[in-house]
Amino acid sequence: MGRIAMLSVVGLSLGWLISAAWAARDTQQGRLNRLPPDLRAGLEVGSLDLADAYAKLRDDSEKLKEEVAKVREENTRLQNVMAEGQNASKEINDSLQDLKIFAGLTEVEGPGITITLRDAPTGDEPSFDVSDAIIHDMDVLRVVNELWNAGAEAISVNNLRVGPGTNFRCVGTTILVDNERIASPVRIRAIGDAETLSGGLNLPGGILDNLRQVHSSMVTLEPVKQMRLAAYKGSTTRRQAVIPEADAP
Amino acid sequence: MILLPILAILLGILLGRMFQAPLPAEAAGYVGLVVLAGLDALLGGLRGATEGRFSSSILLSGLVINGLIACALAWMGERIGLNLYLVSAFVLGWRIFTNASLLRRHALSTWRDEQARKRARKEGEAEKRGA
Repeated sequence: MGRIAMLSVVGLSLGWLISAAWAARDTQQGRLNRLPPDLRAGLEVGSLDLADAYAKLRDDSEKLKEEVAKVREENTRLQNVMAEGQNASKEINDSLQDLKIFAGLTEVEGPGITITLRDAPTGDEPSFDVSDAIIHDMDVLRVVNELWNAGAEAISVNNLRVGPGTNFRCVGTTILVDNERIASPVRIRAIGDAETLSGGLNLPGGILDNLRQVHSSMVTLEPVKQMRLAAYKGSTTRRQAVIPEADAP
Repeated sequence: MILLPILAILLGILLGRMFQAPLPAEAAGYVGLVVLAGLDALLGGLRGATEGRFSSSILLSGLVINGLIACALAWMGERIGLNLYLVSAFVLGWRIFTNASLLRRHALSTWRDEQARKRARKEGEAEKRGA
């Protein structure tokens, strides 16, 4: 009888352990479920450490970004309030706001154009190189470059405002815009004179022309009467550059 | 008799579910290995009991040492980038199957013996009545 009692005790603690492992597994699954579906697809429950850390960091950074946007908005408002009633500072403020538009630090609105770049549809006869059928970071970069060249005053890519330091890079199958991932379709919006902008982009042999030659559906371009671009959300921290002291006599 | 430890496992699961065992999610893999080691020890103990050479010290030391080795292997595997926990899972799982099949054979043969004994007794009685 003693041996069966002994075995029963082992069985009891074994059952308890099983439910403990079960609960821990539930916790892991719960953490995994917090990730967006596109990220979850590539992850196994086993790699939960990274997944959890990533989810936490991403949530934090999302919150911080919102805060930055709020503070910058508040800053703009305060500067406007301060300037009211004081002519001298009003002038200073006007130039400040101009610079902020230039640097992409405020929301702006105005007329312009929207360009949508998307990967060529699959399944068609591949009369072209497959790599040509995909929108690359370089395509986005060249369109943005062409837009600046044609006199665009503000540009955003998939709602990410293009600032002075904005960069476009390629990571695997996605494009990084200032460390934010985007993928086809890429919606580039630019404020400026619609006719001039589309004229510049549609130059024969230009970037859009190249893409259209691969597949006509890769590019759509339309003028917009009025649109609103979000402010730049990235970092503006400087570490090295300073404004030099007044010129030596 | 054999049913009692199995019932105990179910009871343990139930208790554990009712009173949530606080365990960090990172430990789940290790606890899984310990569970395997425990199942192995339990079946080994049952087998020992049926064969009449059960020893509680062997049972307990096997449980502890096997669990520790399994965890150590898994831990080391994580460090050196080799899925060593698979080794523990394989060996323990193998032993579980072996022990379970031996238990099954033992139960079947005792049952068959019992039937044969019954039949013999019946035949004996019939012979007596006939005589």
